[in-house]
Amino acid sequence: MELIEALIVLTEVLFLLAISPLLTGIIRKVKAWMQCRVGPGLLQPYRDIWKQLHKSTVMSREASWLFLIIPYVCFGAMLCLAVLLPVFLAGPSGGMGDMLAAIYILAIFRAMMVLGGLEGGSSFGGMGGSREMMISAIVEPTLLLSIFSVAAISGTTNLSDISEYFAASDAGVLSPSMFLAAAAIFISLMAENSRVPFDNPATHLELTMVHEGMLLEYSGRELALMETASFLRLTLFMVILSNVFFPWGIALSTGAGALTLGFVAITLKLLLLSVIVAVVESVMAKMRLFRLPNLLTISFTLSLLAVISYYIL
Amino acid sequence: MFPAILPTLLLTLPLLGALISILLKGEKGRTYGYLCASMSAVSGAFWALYVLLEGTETYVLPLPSVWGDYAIRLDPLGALILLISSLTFACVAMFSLFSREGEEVHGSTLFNLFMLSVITALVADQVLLLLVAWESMSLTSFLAAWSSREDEDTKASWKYLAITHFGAILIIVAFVFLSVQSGETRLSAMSGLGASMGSMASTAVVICLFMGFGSKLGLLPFHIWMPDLYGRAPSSLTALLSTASSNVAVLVLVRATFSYVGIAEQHVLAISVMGLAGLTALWGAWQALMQRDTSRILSFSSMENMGLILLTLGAGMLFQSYGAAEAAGFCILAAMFHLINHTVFKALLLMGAGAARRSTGQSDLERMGGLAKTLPALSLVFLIGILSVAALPPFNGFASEWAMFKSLMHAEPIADPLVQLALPLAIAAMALSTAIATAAYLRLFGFMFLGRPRSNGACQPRTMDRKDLFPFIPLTLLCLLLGVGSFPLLNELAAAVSPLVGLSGMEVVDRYSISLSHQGGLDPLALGIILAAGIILTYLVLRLLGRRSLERRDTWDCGTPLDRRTQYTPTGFSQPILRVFEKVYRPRTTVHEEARPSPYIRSVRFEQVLPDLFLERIYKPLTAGAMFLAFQVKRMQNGSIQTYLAYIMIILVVLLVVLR
Repeated sequence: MELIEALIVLTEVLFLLAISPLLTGIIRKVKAWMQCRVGPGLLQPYRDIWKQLHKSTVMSREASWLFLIIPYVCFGAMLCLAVLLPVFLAGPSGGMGDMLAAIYILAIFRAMMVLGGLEGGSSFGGMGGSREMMISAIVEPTLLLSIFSVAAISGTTNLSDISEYFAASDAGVLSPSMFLAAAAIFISLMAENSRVPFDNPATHLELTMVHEGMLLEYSGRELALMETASFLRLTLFMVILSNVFFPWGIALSTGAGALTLGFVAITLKLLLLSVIVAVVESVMAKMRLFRLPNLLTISFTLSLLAVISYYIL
Repeated sequence: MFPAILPTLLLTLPLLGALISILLKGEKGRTYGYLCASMSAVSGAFWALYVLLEGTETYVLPLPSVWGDYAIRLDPLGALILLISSLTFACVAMFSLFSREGEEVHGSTLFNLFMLSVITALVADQVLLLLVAWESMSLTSFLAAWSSREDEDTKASWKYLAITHFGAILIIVAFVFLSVQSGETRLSAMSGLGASMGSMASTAVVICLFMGFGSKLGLLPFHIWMPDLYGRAPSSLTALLSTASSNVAVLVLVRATFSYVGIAEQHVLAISVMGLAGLTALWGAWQALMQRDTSRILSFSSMENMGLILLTLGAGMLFQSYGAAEAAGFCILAAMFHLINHTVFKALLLMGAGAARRSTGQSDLERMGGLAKTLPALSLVFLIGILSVAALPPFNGFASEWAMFKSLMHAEPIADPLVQLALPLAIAAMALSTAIATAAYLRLFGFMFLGRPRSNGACQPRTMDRKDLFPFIPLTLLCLLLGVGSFPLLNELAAAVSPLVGLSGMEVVDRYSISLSHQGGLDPLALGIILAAGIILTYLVLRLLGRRSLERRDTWDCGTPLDRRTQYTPTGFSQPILRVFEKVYRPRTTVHEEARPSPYIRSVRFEQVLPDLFLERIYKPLTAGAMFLAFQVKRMQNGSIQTYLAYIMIILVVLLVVLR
């Protein structure tokens, strides 16, 4: 990899790190507006992280050596995924990310978080982990099938090449299976990132919690890491969704103009997706836990249809 | 000649070991027995390396010849399997030596005999030798399970014996048929017999082979022996049954299907194999999530992995039947790669479960917990095994699962809608079963090692010596090594697999990435490095913030002190998935509510039974039918001399009339 490409990758990672708390802030702000509240400032997530980073850590007596390693692994996995994804730049120099690998890196995060939830021996952690596994048991196949359909259309599983393929081709390449796969991935995005209607990120009520239950025993620096990693995960999902399905504007060469356009395009797309997520969250109610499989099965069916319709049509 | 000594040692040392451990009773016999087994494994590994460097070797055993020469042959594919199996044998032998499992019975004798038969079946190049070795593999493993003192009721072993013999009959039929058809007793001399046999006969042979070997691998509906046997037998035996003997079964199955018989235009057969294998994988994953016993979880996990391997092999058959030889080659390669990786992590996990059972005296997940604090080293190696089997990067399960998914993505060139429907469904089945199995593995680790201990045994486990951990180390390192740097192995595998599909060679390694012909490769080494760099960088950056203060306090308990019963249970953990897949599990739930004077304090008893559908729907009616017939026949035997004289009379008359 040449120096310029390495620099671009580094910039991409730093950009994603910097913008991800902001996106969460925007989602919270838009949700507050829709509820006729003023809501916290856009920069509140940054302040929260900064504060937590400087607090002391309280750790459960029951926790083992794994407990303190998990936040680093989760955060490291998200950094790794940020390296793999094409952000401003697609094409052969855009990265080495394989889509299947990306899904399994997301699985590292989930697995580690579930183990972290079981560490304290509290009921909340086990409950969160158990629910998370139920959701992921359907979300993971959905993601894989959506990717299979995209890979079948573009003829590759390399994320950067897929992005380039769709960016370079005109709208004629758009097929029904792309829309089905995009819909499936959007539902998976909501499910994986613990958004309404799957989970309520703003609650600490055990009846509804999935994600918060697993983080309950974390505090201080470790909590900051886990929270930031979760913000980053949401951003990375949005990057996948926008650069695979709507890659227009992404740079295909390392020219300054193209890169600037790519930077502006991805920023706008991320902002737009955050607003969409916030609106969807606001107009829907949190679903009962055992109604969730219906929605998840819909997304699974959509992704299966995406693959089959590609071959049949 | 130098290399001839290696196969000699490989086959004679286990015999010697078995003899020694019979003759020298007690501790000494055990030690020398296991040492012989380890040395035999070492010579097997060296022989395999020699074959990989120098090419195929054939020897004729000096045995009285009844039906052709007893030849043994090791080709590169066999050598790879022998290499990994030898490693497992060595590690399990050391594990058994230190762990004193099966101490009072003929553990080391049977270990040596089992090892001998597995290795003979692996290298056999003669039909009779293969069949005898296969049979002796079943018998020795049966005896080892049957005589182990942990096995209170012997039902599980008998179940195993019955199913495995049903499989053996099918294998014997298939191989004798092939041998008669070709007029050869040497396996290596058979190839492409399907063309001369006609499609009906070759389909029947392939079905016999899949069902026969499938009975050892846990193919539906022959899996019912697995959980019971794994739950009861010593872990040294199950670690070998799940790895070494599965390896032999898959190896011979691949050779027989793709080479001896050859694939003709049998699309429906291939799709049926894929369907059955996909169901096996799903069933294994579903059941693994619901088990309470650690070894039973791992037995269903073996079933799941073997299902995935057979699914990929079935896809290989499908591609080959359409003439897409390269895609078929990738499928076989991916399946064999996963088989090798499965050997590494499954031996590690089964040994780990055995060590935990020995330390705590518990194998029930509901009674474990908190072991990560008392047995930290074991928890580390077990975690690595779990991450590998759950296919998380950068460990080996991920690399081979990636290859299996990728090998199923070659539907493009084949225009038949049958294929284009079958392959996406296969990917869906594979994805669903791996996702559910991941939940099962996390549950296994989480409830064994994390949280609070749930029983006295788990509170104060017997500590493990450093030497007890020694057998785990090579397997743990291999989990990582095969995950990030499997390129030499893949090159060897590609060269070994390509003759099976009629190619002269395949390119699967492109500099530092694994790439099958479908675009987009995986660079496991770089992925591992980036991942590690991310983790280390995070740590270093946070170090810059300065030291933080760390306090240990109670878990958040909402004001009610927590004890060992106020944690989430493994049964509770898997309930949501049980609810989602209720149609699959068909749980029988009864809730008894006892009336109490106070409306607030109620006494409720909850019982849930997950029926074993295959036992109830298939095996029980079958045995009931057999018993019914037996009782009908018994009526004839009423014990009176006159009746028997009448029978003799009738038979005589019938014979006279018929043969006159």
